[in-house]
Amino acid sequence: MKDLNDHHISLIERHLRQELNIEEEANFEKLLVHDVFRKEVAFRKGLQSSIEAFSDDKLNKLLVAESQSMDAALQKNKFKKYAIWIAITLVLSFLTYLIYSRYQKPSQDDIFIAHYEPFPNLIAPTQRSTDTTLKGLELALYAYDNGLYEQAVSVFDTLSSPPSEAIIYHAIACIEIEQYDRAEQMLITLSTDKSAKYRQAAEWYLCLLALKTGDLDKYNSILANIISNLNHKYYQKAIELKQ
Amino acid sequence: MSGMLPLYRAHRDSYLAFTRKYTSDRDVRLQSYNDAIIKLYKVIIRNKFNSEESQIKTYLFNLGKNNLINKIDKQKSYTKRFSTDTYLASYGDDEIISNDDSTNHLYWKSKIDQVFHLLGEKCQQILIHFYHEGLDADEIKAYMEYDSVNVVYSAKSRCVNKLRQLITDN
Repeated sequence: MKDLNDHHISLIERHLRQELNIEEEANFEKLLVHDVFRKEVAFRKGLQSSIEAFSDDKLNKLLVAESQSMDAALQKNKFKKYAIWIAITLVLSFLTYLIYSRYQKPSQDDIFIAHYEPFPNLIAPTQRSTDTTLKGLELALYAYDNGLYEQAVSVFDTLSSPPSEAIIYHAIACIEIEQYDRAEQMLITLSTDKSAKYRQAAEWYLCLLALKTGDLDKYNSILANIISNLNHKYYQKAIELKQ
Repeated sequence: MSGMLPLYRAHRDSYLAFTRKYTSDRDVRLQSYNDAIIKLYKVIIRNKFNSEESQIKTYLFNLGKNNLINKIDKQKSYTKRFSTDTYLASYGDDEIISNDDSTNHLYWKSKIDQVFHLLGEKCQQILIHFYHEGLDADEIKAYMEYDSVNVVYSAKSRCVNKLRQLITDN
């Protein structure tokens, strides 16, 4: 055999496609003794294998690209999900905070801070004084008016016989520098002195001081006492405090 | 193949979860799934898939699982070979393709691998349809919109000759 004809080619191709019957297969085997036929079989088989590999590679590339686009979409969705959850968490936290702050009872300290203010200097206003030679009660009140409570307490302490009106300022200055026991003693003295000018103020501050120190029995008792007296100077404040 | 993509998308994640027990390497599992889809595609286009639609998933997962187990076994034996001194001694046992044995199909395969992509798109398609997908001339005629079966035969013959020319030229 020198050359192949169409019949040979068809036989080889049908062999590769496994379409030959037994007789044709036997004929095919016989033809394999010819070098030119054997070479053509090898060529066509190589072509089939190469195309298979080429095609598989092409398909695989398509699938890899598809898989990558799926992963990217999943990642995007994941990010979206996280973003939604973060937004929900933030909104819920904010709502929780709003509800909490709306219904949360303020602490004793918060109530104290809301209702407490230093007793105004009604004896001798000194805030505009530029006199550096002030002494005694005037100096104490000057320091008091300017918020220099430590200095005010020191000066009040040196006064040998201060007027009874000054005791309230001394007590308030003590509250300001957290000398609560001393302040309490002074306020009790004032509040039990029926002739004291600032007796009702002393009761009010005693009430606030009890709140500050956490002595709630005393606080409730003094507050009830103030509220029971419609003419008490601090009646309105006491009502507000109770609310 | 694009018709396989919905099937690919539908089962990819459950396949990856299903095969996690065999290996934690996601890339290996994914490649075994791709291989299984390609095999299934070939089976379908050669009209060899006779099962119910509902069995496609089982069939696909079995293909993938077997492929994956083979991959893992091959990897293990490869590692074993490289970790022992017997590697060099056994090297000669492998099949060696003779560079000039034109009666060996691997000789032609390596030649064709180098030039097949140089063929035109139509030639690649007709040869893929015939040699890879197993379509007959009638089907190729319909699929590629040729006028007659004879045109298909002559086009195929021309493409094979062109391929031979490319091999000679390269």
